[in-house]
Formats: sequence, C-alpha cells, structure tokens
Amino acid sequence: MAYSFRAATSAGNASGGALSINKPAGTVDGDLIIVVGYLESDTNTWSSIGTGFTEAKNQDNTGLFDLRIWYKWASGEPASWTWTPTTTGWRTLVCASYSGGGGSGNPVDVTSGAQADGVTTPNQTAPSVTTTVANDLLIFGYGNFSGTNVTSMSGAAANLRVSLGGCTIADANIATASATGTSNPLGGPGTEDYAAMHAAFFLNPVAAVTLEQEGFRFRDDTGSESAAAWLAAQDTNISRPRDLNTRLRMLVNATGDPASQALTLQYRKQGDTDALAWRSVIKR
Amino acid sequence: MAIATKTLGGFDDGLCRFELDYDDVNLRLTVVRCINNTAQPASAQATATANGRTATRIFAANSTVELAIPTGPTTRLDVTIDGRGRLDGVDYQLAWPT
Repeated sequence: MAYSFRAATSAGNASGGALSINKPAGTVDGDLIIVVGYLESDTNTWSSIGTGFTEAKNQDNTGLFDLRIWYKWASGEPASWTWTPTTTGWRTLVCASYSGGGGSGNPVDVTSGAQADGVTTPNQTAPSVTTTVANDLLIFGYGNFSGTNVTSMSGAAANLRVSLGGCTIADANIATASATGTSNPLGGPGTEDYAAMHAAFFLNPVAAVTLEQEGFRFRDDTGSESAAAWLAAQDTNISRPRDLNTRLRMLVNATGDPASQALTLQYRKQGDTDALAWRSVIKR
Repeated sequence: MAIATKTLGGFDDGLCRFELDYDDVNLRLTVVRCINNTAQPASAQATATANGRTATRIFAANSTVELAIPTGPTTRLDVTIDGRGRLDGVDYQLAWPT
C-alpha cells in the first residue's frame, strides 16, 4: 500500500492579495492534500491560510521570499481555499492531492530545507531526509526568485506534479525507511536564488496518544480487594507512619493508545535522579 | 517589436504545459497555448487583476491548443512586466486533470 497521486492545481503567479486555489479534481474525504506557497518577501507572512491546513515546513530565501508546505486530510472540502498575505506581494500556490493514506493524525515524519542565491540548476537541492517507516510520501517543495518554471526533476522526488512560475510540487513514494537523497529541478530554471524543502509524510500516522489521570485513592493493606478499608476519600492525600503497607488505586486512561504503542507505567522515588531507579508497575 | 514566449506552468513532468506569447514592447498577451501530451484534460482560467476580466478554457487530452487573446482596448488583458522580467497583472488557475 502506498500513496497515489490524484490531481493538481495551481494559482496566482502575480502580485496581489487574497488568492484562492481550487481543490484538485477527484479529491475525496481521507485524501492527503498538499499545498506549497511562495510569497514575497521573506518578511511577509500569510495572515490567513486555507481552513484546516497545517504547516509542515517553512524555508525562507533570506531577503527574498517565503516558502511553505502545508497539509490537511480532506474532510468535506469546499471547491477552493483562500490564502491571504499580510501585505500585498507576489504570491503563487500549487496544490496536489493523494489517495491511499490513513486519513487522520499527524502525518509529518521528517523534513528538511535549504536555500541559497546564484545557484545553478543541479545544485538547487532539498537536503536528504531519513524516513523512519516504510511507504512515506516524499514531497519536494520549491520556489525561485526569477519565477522560472520547473519542467523536469532529478533525484529522490522525481515525479514532477505541478509547477507554476517556479513554485513546484514533486514527489516519490519511499518504500523502506531510509535516507532519501537529495532532490532538485533539472529542467527550467537556470542560475537562481532558490529555496527547496523535503517533507516526508507517514502513510498511516499513529494517532496522538494522551494520558489522563482520572483519580486516585489510598486504602489500608488489609483484607481482600473488596474488603480493604479506605484511608481517605478519592483524590485526597494522606499521611501515615512508616512501615505500614499502603495500597494506592489510580485510574490512568490512554486515549488513542494502539496496541503497537502500548504504554508502560513506571514509578520512581521523588528526588532520585538515577534513571535506573525507574521501576515498571505494569506493562500491557 | 517581437513576440516572446514564456512557459507559465505545467503538470505531470511537463507533459502538460501552458505557454504565453506576448508582445515584448506593449506587453499585451497575444496567445495562450496548452501543449497537453497527457491522457487527461487540463483547464486554465486567467483573471486580469486590473479589471477583473476572466477567460476560462478546458484543454482536451493529447492535444495542443492555441487561444488568441483579445487585444482590443476594451477587451485585452492588461499586463505589466516587473523588474525581473515576470509578467504581472493576471492571476491564473490551472488544473490537471480537470
């Protein structure tokens, strides 16, 4: 199983304010949507972005422009989304959608970025990233100051999906966890002031795991589980003489705790800084 | 005066690409060309930011289409050229497949 490219759109490539970009054709709920945005200058910002998008990576070209990669999982998407720069400037957006992913969770595995001025085409590289699991989607996001369009790619992300005025998305499926190597434009740009990024996205993100300590209660170490006497009300601290066995019942919930990431509950005496002093209470 | 050509954007490793022809003196767009060597159609919409004029077109699969752009004073798309040689004044909406 791997991501599959669905369609791409692009918008802008001119100076102006709010810019809308259309949803790629055929995009359905659960698809991973990628947007790369180019904005001049590097100190300008996006005052608002498409609803529900999250930034995965930002790589400015110092003094010239701002370049970002955003993502979102499609869910009841409108026909288009709008990005608005804080200050009117040259702006371009490119977008691609992919099917096959898990459809929820934080999909960002690893990212990298680079920028430089006066660099020839084969050297306008996004640095290699080392993916941590199999079947990541490697996204290459790129922009150049002259606005020269990219017509072919070389390196890890060899599939050129969309480019408008140099703002580009290319991709590759990375079958095994590994160092991807670099990616760079091959055709189109000449010597450029550029910025380039890699962002690798999990095929099936693990949902965020959160712990909630719901309550605790102390009881005497007498009798059975049902018969032992409580020492205080729930969530109430106690004080007891030494050498008295004391039971502590507590309820800890783990939301989004898949079997593959089972949590281990450990304890350590307060003030003991020795890492080896941790002891497991339960492992499930 | 000469007609200059600029590659605007493209999709699918450049198999589908959009080009602009423009007069390098008065900077008026004269032709939009879509060279679509893919099995899927593409679409383009151009909106002049100065006057809001919009043109939309679907470009069939495996075809090359040239569109002459109106150049009359009341219909033309007004463009300018910035200090780096980029054509400004038109927002594009390109899509592939469409």
